[in-house]
Amino acid sequence: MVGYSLTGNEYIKYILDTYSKMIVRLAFTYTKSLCDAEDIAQDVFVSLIEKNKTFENSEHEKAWLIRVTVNKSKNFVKSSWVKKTVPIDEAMTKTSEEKSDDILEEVLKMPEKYRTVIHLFYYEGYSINEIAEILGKSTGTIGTWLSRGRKILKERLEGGFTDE
Amino acid sequence: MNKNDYIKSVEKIELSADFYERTEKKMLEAAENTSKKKPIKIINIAKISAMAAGFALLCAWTLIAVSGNNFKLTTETADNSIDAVANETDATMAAAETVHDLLTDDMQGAPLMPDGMIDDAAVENDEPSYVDGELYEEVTSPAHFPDDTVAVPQTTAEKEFPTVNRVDVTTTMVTEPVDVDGKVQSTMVPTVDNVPVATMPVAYHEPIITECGQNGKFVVIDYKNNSGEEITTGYDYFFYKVEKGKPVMQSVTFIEIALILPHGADVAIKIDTSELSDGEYIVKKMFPDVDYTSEVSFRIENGVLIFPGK
Repeated sequence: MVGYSLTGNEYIKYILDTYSKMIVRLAFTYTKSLCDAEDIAQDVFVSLIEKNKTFENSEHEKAWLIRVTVNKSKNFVKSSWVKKTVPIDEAMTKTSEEKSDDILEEVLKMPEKYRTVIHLFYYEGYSINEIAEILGKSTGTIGTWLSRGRKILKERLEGGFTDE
Repeated sequence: MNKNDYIKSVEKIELSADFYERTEKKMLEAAENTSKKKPIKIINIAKISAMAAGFALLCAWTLIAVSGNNFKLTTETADNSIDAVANETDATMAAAETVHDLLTDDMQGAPLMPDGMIDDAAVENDEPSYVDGELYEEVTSPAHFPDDTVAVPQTTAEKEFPTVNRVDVTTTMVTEPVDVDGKVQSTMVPTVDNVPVATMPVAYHEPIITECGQNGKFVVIDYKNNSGEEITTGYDYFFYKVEKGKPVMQSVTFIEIALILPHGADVAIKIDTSELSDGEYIVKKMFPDVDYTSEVSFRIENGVLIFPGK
């Protein structure tokens, strides 16, 4: 089981070093704000400690963290505070000049479900089956969302979008 | 552009300089608080079983003794019988106290897993109280049943829903604007069998109802978003009736309602209201393990299905 050979402090350091970027970046695809994404990541890590979770292996651990991140991000996005707030679009201000960033902008403009699937598929490298398991959806649903997400990207991006 | 461009752009999202420090501090605090909490007791099943068996034996012994003494009343003198019963009663009391002490000692000295880890199975077994707590808070929130309510005509759902796995939901636009995530949009009223059924208030999110694992079939869904895209999904749901402010799990065969969601997704569920008595209900999807829930609330008054107002 992951982390059992580590002491409490070592385990915390291992978790932070291994998963911080992944979780913040995933949360960012929901929040579009680095500060909020970091808050969510903190919340996820604290949940992990509070729940004293044990995992079968590192994949199980990662999948749990992704699932919790997605859920906390969804809860955050639908909270009344967020609805009444106009976010500063950090993505736009940070990345508007470079070509590769156009794609992130476009992904962030997509509906939430497509964003998540695109991110997990292209960035985290999960298969459709794995994403379906992590998100608790059917593979058919994930496949459909991925296909629609790709279609949207192809339409919106100059020069289209390819998997390669 | 390709996936490498996406990866490059995502990797430009860098964390704040103090993120690790802040987060580590919070995690350490959480670890400290968690270790201070009363740990879940893991009872030695073998010991408890042995004690239960002993207790059962004791009860049987007491019964035999009492009935034996009653019999003696008819054959021996009253004084002798009373003495015998008193003696047996003393012995029974003493034995019961011993069992009580043993039980108490065992609860206090329940073994923990190494390093204060809590057994996963014990945590899972603890879910019902967590669920009740969650539901109780949410049910009592006035937001769930605002004053403005919309009466919903009952659908033509068949009373029995044998093998149907999907309900086709067609949608029609209505002129009323709806606040969806802060933006005013037209809404679509879903219909089942061409009967418009309900509009959900903005406060509800993603109540995706399908199969109710424990309470019979809730099959469904096939729903469409505002772009007319068809989306399918599947989850296990739990169905509750709110009784005296607390949710009580129900056993229902099938439910049919149709909803419109704030994110623009129409969801069809079936509710056969003839199965349900008047009162407030909740259908809730629960993932306590990952801190996420979604739900649908409604009530039935005089047999009519009523949703909270839009």
